[in-house]
Amino acid sequence: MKYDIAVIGGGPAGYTAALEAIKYGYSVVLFEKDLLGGTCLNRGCVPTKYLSHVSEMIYKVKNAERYGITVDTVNIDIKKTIEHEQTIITKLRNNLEELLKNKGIEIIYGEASVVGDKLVKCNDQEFVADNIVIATGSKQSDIKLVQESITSDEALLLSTIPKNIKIVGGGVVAIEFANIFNQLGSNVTIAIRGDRILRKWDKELSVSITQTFKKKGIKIETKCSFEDFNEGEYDCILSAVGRDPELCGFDADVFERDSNGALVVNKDNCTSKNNIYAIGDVVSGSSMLAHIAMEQGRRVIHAIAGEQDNSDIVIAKCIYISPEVASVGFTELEAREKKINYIVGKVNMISNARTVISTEDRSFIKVLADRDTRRIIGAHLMCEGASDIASEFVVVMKNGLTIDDVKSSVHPHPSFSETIMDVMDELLEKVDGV
Amino acid sequence: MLFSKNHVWLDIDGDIGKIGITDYAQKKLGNILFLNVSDIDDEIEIGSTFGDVESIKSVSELFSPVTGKIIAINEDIIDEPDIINEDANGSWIVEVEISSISEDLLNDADYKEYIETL
Repeated sequence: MKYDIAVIGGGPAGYTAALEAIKYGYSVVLFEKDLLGGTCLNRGCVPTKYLSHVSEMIYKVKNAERYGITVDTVNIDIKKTIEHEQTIITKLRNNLEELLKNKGIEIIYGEASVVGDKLVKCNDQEFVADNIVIATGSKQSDIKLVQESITSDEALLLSTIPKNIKIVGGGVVAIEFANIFNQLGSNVTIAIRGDRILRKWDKELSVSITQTFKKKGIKIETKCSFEDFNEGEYDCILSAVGRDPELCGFDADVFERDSNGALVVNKDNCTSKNNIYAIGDVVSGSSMLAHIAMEQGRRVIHAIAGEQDNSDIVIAKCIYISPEVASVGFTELEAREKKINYIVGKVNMISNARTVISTEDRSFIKVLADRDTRRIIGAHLMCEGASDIASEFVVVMKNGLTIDDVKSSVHPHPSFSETIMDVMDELLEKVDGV
Repeated sequence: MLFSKNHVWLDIDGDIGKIGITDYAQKKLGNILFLNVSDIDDEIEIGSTFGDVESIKSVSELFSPVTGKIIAINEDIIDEPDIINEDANGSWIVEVEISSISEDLLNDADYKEYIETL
């Protein structure tokens, strides 16, 4: 069987590449060894958002007295909760499979392996393809800081809510699970090696989340040693210390790889072997974000078609906690390192009606702009709806829009995002002195 | 203790100085919710900002009265910034290794006189 493009892996990177390839009229075969949708749909973004939603409902009901709502007892049947989670995931997975099939993509379930420059083998069958796209994703890190710990995959399937849980790690996965278990009623302790959670994020966001967590009773233990990670009485320890590239399905040794084992690619996402491309979490330097993987999936097909797009990908990084956190563009540290003459505008949302109605948590929007060009270069948000509001800043930064452009774009009232207008006023005051 | 017209105080001990905000500032700000300050080892300059203080009324920048390097941050204040509302002069925010001091700083009496004019 011969195809224009063979895609190995049916996660966000792989299925987006396959769908994009169809638009170009390419014949496509897609190999999936486990479940379509990859980590994102089955063990990552979607199930964690589901649990965030459930835990937030419980939290809001328990804390609704100020609205005049009191509920005597709030019970959760976690088995039923997880069953419904699986129902939703199955439904989304089936929808995805139907979409891919309807578009004419051949889906082969089984562990594929690249056996030649243009040859893939799966289930004892050979498939010839002019171009091969590796999108095998990532897996839980093999690092084991605590002996008796569970992974985030297992945390999504717990049959009981732990009374006391320790979460090892200070990245996004750890933070989101801390929020979920706290809202479900667990006593949560986060243990990290460094002195700050989310050390790659804007410092103010990191400190703000720490403060919010402390107010909600989440303990954060810093500068922990290996012994510290294993100490304490907990009925569950969740290890969330990162992910490694998934290297099955090809002979990794014949490709150029980085020190973490991830595949090194050029600006067109081509590996060290011609006509073999790699996208998503398996690529060196991956941010492990589904929306970047999907954009790489589109771009790799454009490159194969000779329509390269090497422009910067502006992305929003989001943390789904209460309140939500999102970050787009440069942090202050990055702006300083790049010697940009920047200014900062920040407004807390204590006078934003929608915010005051919905939460008592501290919320703010902070924006960085280049004083010389007046362009917006960074936005860091901690507020209700931050993950959606961040999209506005993606459009702004992708198109090089200025403080004036944003200020002249009227925002609805009342809305969370109208705070952006106040931030623009602050920036204008700094840049023009009026 | 010396005071700036931007309402920060400076307590000098040799070439080390502690910086906080004045009692006048905390009263004007109202209930302080959050302190955002530069990192340890960051270089700061006279008149430049080294962070901001967020209160129920506004977000106000903190202007440095010295040039130097931040060598310590008062984590207790970061954790519970409203301590400043109880004792502003006793609540240092950052400790700095000083290389030069603003010439416009005021002593206690002159600062009191200055805030009378505001």
